[in-house]
Amino acid sequence: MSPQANNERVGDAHWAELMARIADNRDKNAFSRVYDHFAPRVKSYLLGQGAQEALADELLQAALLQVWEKAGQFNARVGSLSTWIYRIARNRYFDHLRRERVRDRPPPDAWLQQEDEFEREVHGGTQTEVERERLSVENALKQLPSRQAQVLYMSFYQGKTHVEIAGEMDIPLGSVKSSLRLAFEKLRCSLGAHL
Amino acid sequence: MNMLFHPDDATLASYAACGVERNYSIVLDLHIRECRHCQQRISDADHIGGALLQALPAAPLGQEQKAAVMALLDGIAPAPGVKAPAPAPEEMPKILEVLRNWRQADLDALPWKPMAPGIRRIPIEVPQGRLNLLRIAPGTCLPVHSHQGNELTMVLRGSFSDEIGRFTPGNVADLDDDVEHQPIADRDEDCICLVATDAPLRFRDWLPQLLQPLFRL
Repeated sequence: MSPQANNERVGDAHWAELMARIADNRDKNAFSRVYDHFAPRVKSYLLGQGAQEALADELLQAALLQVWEKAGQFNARVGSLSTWIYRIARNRYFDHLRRERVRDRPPPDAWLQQEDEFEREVHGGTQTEVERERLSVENALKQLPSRQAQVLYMSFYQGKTHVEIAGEMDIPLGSVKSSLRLAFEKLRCSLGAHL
Repeated sequence: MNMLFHPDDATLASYAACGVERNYSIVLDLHIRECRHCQQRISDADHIGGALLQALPAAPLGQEQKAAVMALLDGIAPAPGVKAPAPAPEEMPKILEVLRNWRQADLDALPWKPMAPGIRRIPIEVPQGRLNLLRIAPGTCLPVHSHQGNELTMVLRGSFSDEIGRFTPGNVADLDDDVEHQPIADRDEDCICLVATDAPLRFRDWLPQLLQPLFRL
């Protein structure tokens, strides 16, 4: 797949190449492209979680600097760059909440982030597969019924608990769980390959 | 480790998105650490999170902010291409340390307090919700109860059975307010389990109400 520098919806192979250039050559131009695409989305994510503007800016800066520093740890075979950056942003945000003693909800155990071998084995993906997966998840997202989409959004993007979602949507806890279960199932199926 | 009973997919998805309170994540950590099935679910949830990030609208960002980041790049040395070693475990209360190594730990040495005939417990301090270690004598029948909210139980030793099945160490019962159940500790040995709840258990008849202090209601 050839890089399409001017197309915003560049493929995963392109991101992988940019990340390799950052890791190998400390290529600022490559980093600048990664920044342009992901920094605004990371900011959206942080604002959605409820971070104030200044905090969102501070955390997004730290997250993107981490992308620069740890570019060599990104492995395009086990997942897309957006997943890698999502984890960085999520962990930064929830670690911040813990440090500030706002909320004690640690990100999934650190060991989980390190099970590189495990993921490789399961996804076993080439870059094209990784990209196909991502597009297929995005497609499945668009087709979710509205309640499922809303519950998924509140869960992944606002970090709300089942109880909080039930309260806000004024639906029974069991409905929150079943909606989220169904949405997760559909999206998981669209991840495809390993199921 | 082969497990028969896992947390609900909805619970795992929320765990991955940091959307469960601490009492639940303590229980979940213990199960997931041993369970490849659930590790896979968490990994899937993160891939979905990545696709969601990709699909988010771009928030406006100032050029000066990017300039500030670009200016910092030269001062940062690249991290080695291999993953960093696991961070040192954070300071945690002694009881949580014991739980982390529950398969090796001497659970008998813990300060069990009698609560009701056949039942002892240790309450564990958490910022949100409730977390209790329960130790149930062989053959003891817990009252029929349903839940206002969730109840997540993992067996650490022995086993219990209810309408759903027989739960052995490492297995998790993930129940919400739709489910009414009556767990019975199996006959061979004490059943020790870790139970997280967010709301008081509701008992169906008057007798078990006597047991409510058991759950710190």
